[in-house]
Parts: sequence; structure tokens; C-alpha cells
Amino acid sequence: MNPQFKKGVLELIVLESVRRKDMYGYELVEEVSEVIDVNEGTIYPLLKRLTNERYFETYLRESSEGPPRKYYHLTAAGILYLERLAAEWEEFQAKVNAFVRGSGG
Amino acid sequence: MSKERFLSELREYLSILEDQEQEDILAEYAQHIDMKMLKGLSEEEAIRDFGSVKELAAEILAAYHVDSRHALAAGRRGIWPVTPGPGRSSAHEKGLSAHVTEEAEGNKRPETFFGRFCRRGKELLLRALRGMQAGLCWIGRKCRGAAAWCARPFTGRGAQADSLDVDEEYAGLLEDGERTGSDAGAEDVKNDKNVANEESTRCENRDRNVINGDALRGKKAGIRETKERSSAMGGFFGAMGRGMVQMWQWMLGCCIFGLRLCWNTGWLLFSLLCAGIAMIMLLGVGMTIVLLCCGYPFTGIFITGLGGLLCFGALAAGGFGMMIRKKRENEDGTKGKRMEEVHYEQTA
Repeated sequence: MNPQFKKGVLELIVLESVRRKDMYGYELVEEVSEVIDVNEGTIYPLLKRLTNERYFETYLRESSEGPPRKYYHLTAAGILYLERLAAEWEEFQAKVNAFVRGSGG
Repeated sequence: MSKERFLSELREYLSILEDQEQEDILAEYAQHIDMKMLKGLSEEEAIRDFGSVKELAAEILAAYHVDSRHALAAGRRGIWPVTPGPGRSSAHEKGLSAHVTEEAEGNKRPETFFGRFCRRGKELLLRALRGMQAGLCWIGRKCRGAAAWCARPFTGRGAQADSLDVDEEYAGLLEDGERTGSDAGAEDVKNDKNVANEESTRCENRDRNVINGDALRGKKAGIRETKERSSAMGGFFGAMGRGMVQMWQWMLGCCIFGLRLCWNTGWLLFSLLCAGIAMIMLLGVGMTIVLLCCGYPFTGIFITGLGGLLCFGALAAGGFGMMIRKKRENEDGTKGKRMEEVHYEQTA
């Protein structure tokens, strides 16, 4: 997939994944990797940015497999931001699809 | 690349960030590597998936809205830790660069040139005034010495010697710790050795401010006896010398008062001028806020007005701060001495 496409939708996928359930970093990387092939390193900076911008909040939860894990939770601001991104994405992809199909037909 | 090396290299690039943030990020990457290793991957394979450490660090720094081109180099040098904040989101949206904490090492706000100049000037002026005061006191002492020398044939050597002995003891007491008054006051006390009884009584009253305790009473009785032995001529010369010293001190006091008055008046006028301009700026800022809300493109004027308001407000505050005021400690000290005096009179 075109890396520019991936970059644009990565934030939306991460936000949507965390909206469904609270996740820790590695789990989120695996979840996102199922949708798009992405460098693992790029997810953490994105998580950090979204946390700094108060779209995520974090908490530690004990794990049976090792040290406590940091879970990410979507805040109210994050939900609003996700809704805005999703709407933009819908509009964007609808317009692009319409254009591509129109020119193809 | 081993996990330790990867983490240390990443830490080096991220050293521009605050320690807590660094630890937070590194812990997350360390945990990620551990989990991949648990799934059967080798350490190198787990790290290889992250790609270049430098690019990874640049992406992390971008999450803090730090320009990675400069920050990576600065991070290597270990300057300016960066903190995340809620205000970052708007800055990010506008594409602005990161805010860097001012408390960072090497970035402490230096004293301004104006402030340093004023402080230095004030110090020099005070030093010069102290020097003048010391010089005048020295002249006064010499005058008193000359007066005492002139009075010596009339006062008698024995009485004078006794008087000097007591006086030295008295001066020793003064210097031993109970000395709270000014040097001029102490000089007055020392000068009282040759004056008549009435003056001696006045001296005692003044002494109560300086020396306390029962130990003093015995000394005073001795001094009083010595002073009673002084002749009328000695009293005349002594009074003359004392009068000269008082005149010097009065002149010095007038000079200091005049200088202080000029200094304070100058700063007061300057501060009032700045405060007046600041008030006008405040009015302007208020008006531009209203106009901005109405949609007029007055952002530039608003920012200028706000800057001017802050600037002149600070200048006004600085001007008021430059005015010389009496120290509270001195007031408290004087009050304490007055209380002590009252107590002493009651007990006496």
C-alpha cells in the first residue's frame, strides 16, 4: 500500500481500535498491523502524540506475563476527534471513489 | 543491535525530552521488544522491525512538536528538556514549533542590562555615601580629639585619665554586642565624657537604646562620676566638638535625604508616566478586543497594544521597585528598642 495513504489513515485506525477496547502498546501494534502493514516504531510516537493532546489517557494494569502494562483509553475529546476524523474520511473517500468511478465509467 | 544498545542510542537522541518522558518511551519500547522475544523472535529481529533509530527518534520528537533536524543534534548535546502540555495540540494544528521549558539548564533568564546597570549604580551611590559618612565621622572624631586636647590643661590629667579608662570600657561594651544603634549614635555616646551633668542624663537616655542589662548600670554610675569631675572649660570644648559633629551629621543627613528625594521623585515620575501609558494601552487593548469580536482585522494592533501594556506595566512596576524605602527590619528594631526603653524606665 502507498505509504502516504497509510500515514493518513493510521491515526483513524488507532483511534477506532482504542475506542472498541482499551489496549496496551504491543496489542495495538498487532491490531493495526492486521489492517495495514505499518512500521511498529511509528505507532508509539503516534500514541504519545495523541496522549499529549489529551485524546488518550493511560493507566497501568498488572499482567500475568510480566511487568504492568500501560493501557490506552479514549477520552471524551478523543471520541469527538475520532468522529470528526471518521466524517472527514467518509467524505474524502466518497469523493475520491465517485471521481475514480466516474472517470473509469 | 542489542536491546541495551538500541535503548541507549534512542535515549541519547531523546535526551532533549524530560527524564520522565524518556523513561516512559523507553519502557514502552523495551516492553515491546520483550513481548516480541516471548513470541519467539530474537532480540535483533525484534529491534530490526523498528527501523533506523534516528528516524524513530525523529518521529517520537515530532510527537512532541519538536523540529527533529535541530532536536536530534541538540539531544545529543543534552540541552533543553521538553515537556508535553495541553497547549500543544493547538500549536501542532497551527504548525508551530514546540514550546521549550524555560527552567531548562543553560537557559535561565539572565539579568537584563538595564537591571544590572541600575543595581550597579545604586550600589556605587550607596558606597560613595557610606564613604562620605565615614570620612565626615573621621573629621568629627579628629575635631573632638582636638577639643579634648585643648581642654586638657583645664580638666586635670588624673580626671581625664579616669575618664578615658571608663570611656574605653564603655566603648568595649558597645562593641561587645549590645550595639544596635548607628555609628553616629555611638560616637555621640563616646563624646559625652566631657560634658556636664544635664548632658550626661541625656546621654543616658540615648544609651538605653544601645546598651541594656543590669551590668550597664554600674558602668553608667562610674561614667557619671567621672563626668561630674569634668571642668566647665572641658565641657565647653566638648560641647563645641559635639556640636560640630552634630552639624556634620545633620549636613550628611540632609545630603542623603536630598539625594533620596531626588532619586525617588525621578522614579516616581517615570513610574507614573509608564503607568499612564499602560492605562492607555489597556484601554486600547479593550477596544481592539471588542473590535476583534466584531470581526475587524485588528489582530496586529491588539498584539501591539498587549505588548505595550505589558512592557509599560513592567516598567512602571520596575520604577516603583527602584524607589528607596526604609527597611522593615529597622522599623521593627526601633520599635523593639522603644519597648526596651519603656521597660527600662519602669524598672529603674
